[in-house]
Amino acid sequence: MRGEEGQPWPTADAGRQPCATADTGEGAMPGLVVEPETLPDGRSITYFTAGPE
Amino acid sequence: MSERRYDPTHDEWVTFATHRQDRTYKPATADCPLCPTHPGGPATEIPRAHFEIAVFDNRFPSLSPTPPTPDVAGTDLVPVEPAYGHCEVVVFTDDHEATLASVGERRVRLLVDAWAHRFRALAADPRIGYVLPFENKGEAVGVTLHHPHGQIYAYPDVPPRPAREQRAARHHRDRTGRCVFCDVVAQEQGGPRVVVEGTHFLAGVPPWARFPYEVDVWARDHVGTMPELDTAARDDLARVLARVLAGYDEYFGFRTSYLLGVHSAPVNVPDDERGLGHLHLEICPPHRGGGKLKYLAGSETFGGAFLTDVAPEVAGPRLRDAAERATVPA
Ligand SMILES: [Zn+2]
Ligand SMILES: [Zn+2]
Repeated sequence: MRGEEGQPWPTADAGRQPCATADTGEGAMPGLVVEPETLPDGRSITYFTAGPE
Repeated sequence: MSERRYDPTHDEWVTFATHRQDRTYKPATADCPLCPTHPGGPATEIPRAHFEIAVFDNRFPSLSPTPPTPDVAGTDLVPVEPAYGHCEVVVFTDDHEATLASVGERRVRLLVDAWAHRFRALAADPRIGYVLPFENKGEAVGVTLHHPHGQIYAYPDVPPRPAREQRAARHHRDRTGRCVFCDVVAQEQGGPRVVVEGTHFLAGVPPWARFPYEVDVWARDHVGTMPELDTAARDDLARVLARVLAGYDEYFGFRTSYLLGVHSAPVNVPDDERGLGHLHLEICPPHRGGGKLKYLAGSETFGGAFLTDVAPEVAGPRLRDAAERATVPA
């Protein structure tokens, strides 16, 4: 898992999921980062970022 | 106005989403709502300045978890109901000029994970019956936003075409005891219509191709949905899909337009029904070669009967050669 700027991962309460395996299934690529956030108008957005190769 | 109306003469639902007429139509590149938001620049749909893949709720959804009350009252003959469901937008890259064929295999691999994640999240809504990821690409299929993106619709029931697949699969199983898609994979592998042969997925022009250069990508194993794929299978799907798409551009010599849909097992249905589903992608370019386009005309629209003017045994080797020649970015 990758933290931004070397910081430790925020807790799940902060709306981020350091470990995405539970949501994407066992087959997720190693290091996958999934970050759910809320847009200003309340809609949901999720960012997917590949881990380091 | 947003609602679903039942057509009792064809036993299917039609969704009305008239508010979608107001949605962004062919914006100038500088006004692209799917580009990242650059510091000091106008806010787009995506607040970040950089991203790899972003998935968000469609601002103009056809199906909504909080649908408005229908405009008209239904009758016993023609029931009308709120257009319940979910519509998400999947942005493949922050590069406005890229395509899914150009983003590279690794980004396609990430997309497979994103599809799996969203599939699982949307299927967790017990009111959802079917999750359909798709991409409409290119002017030739009427796309209004050119930034590379797809969509995911989560329907409150199983839509007509997947429902028909389920019926066909049940009929085949009752007759033979086997899965019809597994039988198709067994028949097609190694044959003349194969376009890309992967270890876990097989891409080929189906013997019944409705579009001259249709390619279907079938899971080799009997698996119903993306979340069930292990790492090796997802790696292979990305490899096969990236090469098929690059092959199209290589063959036609331009950025190919197409419709791409992911067919999975229905969700929130009994195990027996779900077990009939077999994961596959269908990719349908409207191109017929020579700059000509295939339109859905009288036979297709009123007969539901497709007429195709290129033999799949001819299209298969053409696309296979092109896919082998094509350069697929890592
Ligand atoms: Zn853009
Ligand atoms: Zn099967």
